[in-house]
Amino acid sequence: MKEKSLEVFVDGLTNYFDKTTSSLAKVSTPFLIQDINKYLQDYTGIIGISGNHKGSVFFTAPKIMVVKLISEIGVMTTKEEKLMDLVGEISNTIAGNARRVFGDQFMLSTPVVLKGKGEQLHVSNISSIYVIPVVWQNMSAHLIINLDTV
Amino acid sequence: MKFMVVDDSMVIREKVENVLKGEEFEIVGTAQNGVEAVEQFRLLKPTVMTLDITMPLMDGIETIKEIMAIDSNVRILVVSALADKSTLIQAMHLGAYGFLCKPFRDIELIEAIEELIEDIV
Repeated sequence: MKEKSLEVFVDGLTNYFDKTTSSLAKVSTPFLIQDINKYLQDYTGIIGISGNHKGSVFFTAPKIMVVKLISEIGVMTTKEEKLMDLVGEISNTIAGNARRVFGDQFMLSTPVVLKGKGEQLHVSNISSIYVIPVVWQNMSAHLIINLDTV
Repeated sequence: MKFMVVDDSMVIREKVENVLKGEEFEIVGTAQNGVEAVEQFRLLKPTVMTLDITMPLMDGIETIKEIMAIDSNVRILVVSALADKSTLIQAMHLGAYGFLCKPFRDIELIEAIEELIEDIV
């Protein structure tokens, strides 16, 4: 995937925090990684992509951040089921917003959510893996993009 | 006014319900996919609904088709992250009344719903 195409994900991540929280998030420049497993945190939402691209979009965050994020959108809970649901929804929202650039053939799966680092994740070694870091209220999460154009 | 909330995310369903508390709506049902939505729609006959597009079992586009075949007077606000024009056009062509892109602020949801029902209140 071309680095230029990452802009839509940087914008989507920035927009998510802007619209759903009351304090600014700092989204940093994307960088290339080799091993996705080093970047996974407590909860990871995964959206499979097919159509004009293939691969996955991941949003991964620590539990403390997800608890805070869910309260910011008006749902007061620490129930794991809901924290995992939110992480899936964040990944779905940011991936869905990317259709603004990639069009309606950028097809999304429904979210899959992982808890903890657990099993080692294996992703396509054909395409590059980019990490987009975001820091919000001194907590750090990552959007991970592993996509190839078809 | 009878209101139904359809989204595969329980957090989004709860958020929409919370935002609408104190407004003139009675939340009569919620559903987490299109199949549930159609079943509940037949039973509960809501006047207004929010509807996600990307859902398991039956997506929002198919759900609009099924629901409009049951009662074409329902006011459907599509609330989706899918930000491309063709999804918006397809949903509106099938009978949706409005489209709100996720993520959204509370006030944006309220304004979108007010616009949806302004000629029936």
